[in-house]
Amino acid sequence: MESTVDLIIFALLISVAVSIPLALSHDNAEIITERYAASFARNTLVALLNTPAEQFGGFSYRFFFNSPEFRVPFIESFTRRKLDHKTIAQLLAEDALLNLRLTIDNSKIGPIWSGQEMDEKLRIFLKSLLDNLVGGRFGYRLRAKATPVEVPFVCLDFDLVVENLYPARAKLCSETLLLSLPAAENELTALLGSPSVAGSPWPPVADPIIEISLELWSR
Amino acid sequence: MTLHVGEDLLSTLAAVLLLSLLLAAVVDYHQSYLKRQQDFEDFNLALNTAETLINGALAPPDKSPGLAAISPERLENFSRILFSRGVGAKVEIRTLSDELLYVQKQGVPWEDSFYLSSSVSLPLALLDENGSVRLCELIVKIWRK
Repeated sequence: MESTVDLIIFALLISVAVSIPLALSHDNAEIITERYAASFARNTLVALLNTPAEQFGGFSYRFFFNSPEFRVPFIESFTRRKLDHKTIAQLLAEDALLNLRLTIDNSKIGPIWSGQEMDEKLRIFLKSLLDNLVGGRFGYRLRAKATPVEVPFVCLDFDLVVENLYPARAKLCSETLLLSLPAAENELTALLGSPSVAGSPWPPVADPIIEISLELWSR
Repeated sequence: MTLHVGEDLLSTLAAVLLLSLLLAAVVDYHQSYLKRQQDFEDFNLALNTAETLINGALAPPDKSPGLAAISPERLENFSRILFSRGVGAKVEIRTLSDELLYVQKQGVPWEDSFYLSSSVSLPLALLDENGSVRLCELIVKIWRK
C-alpha cells in the first residue's frame, strides 16, 4: 500500500513538472496574439489614414440647412458636401476643426462651429468601416483626441470615440498615431475672439496635433 | 517477510496502471507542447515576413510613409532569399472584395515535401501606378522544410 502512495506522490510531482512548460506555452500564445494584434492595429491605422473615403463607398454630409423642410433635391444637392477624395486622416482633421468644444472655467460651451452633421456622419462611416475591417477578428475602440489650445480657465478640445467592444474580453494592444492639425494656434486664438482669451499669454508650443489611437480587444 | 497475494497483486496492478497513464499523459503533453511551440515559431516567422515585406520590399521607391507599392522584382528577390533559407513563401495581395491583385509563390511547387506552417494577413494601403490608393490585404503563407 505504501508503494502506491509513493507512486501517487511521484505521479503528482511529474504532473506539476509537466504543467510548467504548458503554462509557459500558454504565455507564449498570449504574447504572439498581442504581437499580431499590435501589428494589425498599427497597419490598420496607417492604411486607413492613407486611404480615400471613396474606397469605402464615399463620404458626404449636408451643411448649413439640416432641417427637414429644406430636404428638397435642389437644396440638398446645393448643400451636400462630397468628400470622397479625402483620406480618413483629412476627414478626421476636418471634423476636429469643425467640432472643437470650448470650455471656459469648467463650463462647456459646446462646439464653436456647427459641424455636428459631419461629426455624426463620420462616426457612422468609421463604425461601418471598422466593423468590416476589424470587427470580424477583434473588438475595437478608435479614439481621435485633440487639445489644440489649453490655458488657465480656457480649453479647446475635440474627442471622437467609435467602438465595438461586444463581446470583448481583454485589451490586447493600443497603437497611436499623431497627426498635425492644419490650423495654426494663433488662428484658433483669433477665432475665439474673447478679450480675456485674446489677452492671455499663449504658451509657445508646437503645432496642434490630433492623437488617433486604436485599441484592439480579444473576442 | 510474508507474501499477501491478493493485496500485493492489486497494488502492483494499480501501480502499473498509474504509471502507464502517467507515461501516456506525459508523452501526449510533450507532443502537444512541441506542436504548439512549433506553431508559435511558424506564426512568428509569418508575421515577421509580412512586416519585413511591408517595411521593405513593398515600400514605395519614394518611401511615402504608410503606403505600399507592388514591385515584382523586389518581391521575387525577397522570396528567393527566404527560400534559400528553407522557407517557402506565398505572398498574396487582395482587395477587400477578395479580388486577387498579385500573387508570388516560391517553394510552392515543392509543397508536398514542405508542410504548411502558418499564414498571416495584414491590411495595406496600396499605391496604384496611376497614383490612387486602395485598401488591400497582404496575406503571407509560409512553408518550412
